[in-house]
Amino acid sequence: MSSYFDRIERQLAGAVETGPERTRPRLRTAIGSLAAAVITIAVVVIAATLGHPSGQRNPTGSNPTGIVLTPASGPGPGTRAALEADVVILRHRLHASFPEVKVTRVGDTVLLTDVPRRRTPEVLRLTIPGHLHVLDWEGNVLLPGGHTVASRLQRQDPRALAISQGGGSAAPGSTGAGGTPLYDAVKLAAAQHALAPGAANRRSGAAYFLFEKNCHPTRQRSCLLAGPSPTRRALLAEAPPGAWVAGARLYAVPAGFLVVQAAASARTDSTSFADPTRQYFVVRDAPALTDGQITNPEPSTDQAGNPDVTFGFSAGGERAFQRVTAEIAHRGALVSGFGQTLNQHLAVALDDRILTVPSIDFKTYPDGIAGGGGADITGVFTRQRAQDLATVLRFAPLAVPLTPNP
Amino acid sequence: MAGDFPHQSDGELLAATRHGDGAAFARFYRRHLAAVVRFLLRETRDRDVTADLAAEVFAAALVSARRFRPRGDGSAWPWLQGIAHNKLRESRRRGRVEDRARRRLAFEPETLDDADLAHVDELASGHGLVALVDALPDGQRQAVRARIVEERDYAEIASELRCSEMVIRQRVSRGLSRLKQQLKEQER
Repeated sequence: MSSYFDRIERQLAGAVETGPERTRPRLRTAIGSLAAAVITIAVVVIAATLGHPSGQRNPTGSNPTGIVLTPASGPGPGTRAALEADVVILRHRLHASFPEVKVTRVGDTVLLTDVPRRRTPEVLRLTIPGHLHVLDWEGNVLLPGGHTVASRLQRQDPRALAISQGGGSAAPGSTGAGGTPLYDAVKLAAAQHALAPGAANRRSGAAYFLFEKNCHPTRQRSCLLAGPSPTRRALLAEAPPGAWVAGARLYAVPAGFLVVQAAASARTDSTSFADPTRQYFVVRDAPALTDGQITNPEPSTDQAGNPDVTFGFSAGGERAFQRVTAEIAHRGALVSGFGQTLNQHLAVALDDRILTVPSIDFKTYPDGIAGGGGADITGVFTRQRAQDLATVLRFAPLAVPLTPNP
Repeated sequence: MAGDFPHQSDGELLAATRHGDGAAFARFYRRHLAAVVRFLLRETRDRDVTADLAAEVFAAALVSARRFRPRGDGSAWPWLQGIAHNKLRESRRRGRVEDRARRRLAFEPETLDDADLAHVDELASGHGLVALVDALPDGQRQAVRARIVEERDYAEIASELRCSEMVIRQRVSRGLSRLKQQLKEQER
């Protein structure tokens, strides 16, 4: 048998076995979970002891707790070096608001200790990967057929218009503006052919999702069993026991495409990516600008007194911002030739969530917006969230994304 | 292509697959690979396309293993041939080999080199018989090899395999019948 057919055989056998690992040896899983739980508890106890050698209460006066963060892709070669980098980044991020929190690496995990129990969600918000990407919205967001919205605007496609211009009171990029449930977005993304990865891409490989069989998502249920995960193995490790045998559906979103959650309003703060009340969009992973091209992010307030985040651009960032806003403005002028104004948009996303989709007024900025004056992200923040975003953007994104252990 | 598997029908292998037995599906794959490759190469006359389609056919078979219902002699070949036929028709219609089943199983992309392409020919030609012999149940495979390929006496084989000559004769007979049946199926 040739090596090609051998490899196919191994992939087939692997596809059968990776899932049922959770059901075939339930005992093993149970033992594994128990062992993991014991290790986790032991690690937290050790870390808590290290944090309080004298057994005194935390000086904040609150009852402190510990958080165990593990690599989203599971342990692998180079993980520990990446975790060391994450430890440094997290220390920087947490230092201003939570100076009492200690960050250490223990094996293949990162431990946060002395976390004020009541402020755990705020601490967790600072442990996100922290990849900012800015992209041409209409040029990259996909319609259910796989075409970009930009390619269908001149035909007055109603779905393209809804995503581009929003619907009713829903602003572009938010729930109610042409998005779909997570399941439909993942199916659409998984049906695309992988694009050659570019240097600025958020992901170089696939993202994996596991859904219930015969999924009919509602506003109460997203049907997501596990994911998004950077590897198939990590996804299946996260899946509930028996999911594979119960006919769970695995989808691989290829490189070059992202499933992003619609923008939240200022007052809603979804902690879960799979929020059944939210809608999702599929975008091409083609950022015009990334976090590496912005400088000096600061929390601030806009002219109306609403919290925002201001930042400048690096030299390359300025050019990229001018270029992409010019392209967007030119398209706005082109598609607005039907007696209506169809301003086009930028999308600003943090990891897999849209923050805001501001419009570029092609009449005011026919040649784009010069990046020399910097830019700001407005309209979707409480003061605390603006502070958190500025803090996350001030330092590099995590070298390896981390997931809190329940 | 060795392996110590107990004799199992296609239905049993696919049932074991549904319960997470990867080795069972590997055996199913080995049992039918030559037939699938032969069928596809005859239809496409293209070795790259044949190799690509063969992988997609088995991935699709794995995805729909729960739908298999044994009929007639219990062989899965008619079912597998149906899948191959559908994949072939789909690829002709679209002008490319689809990889939907492989993507669903999150397969890594595979590439083909010259040796792989040469092996497509081998599998599809008479050498495919070797794969069919290898895929026989253990007892039958040992008996057929010893008697037909190595031309040894029944008494000697019986002594080596620690069973009676009658058992060896039965195994050889059943093994040859099975080979004959599979070759007929491939030619259909």
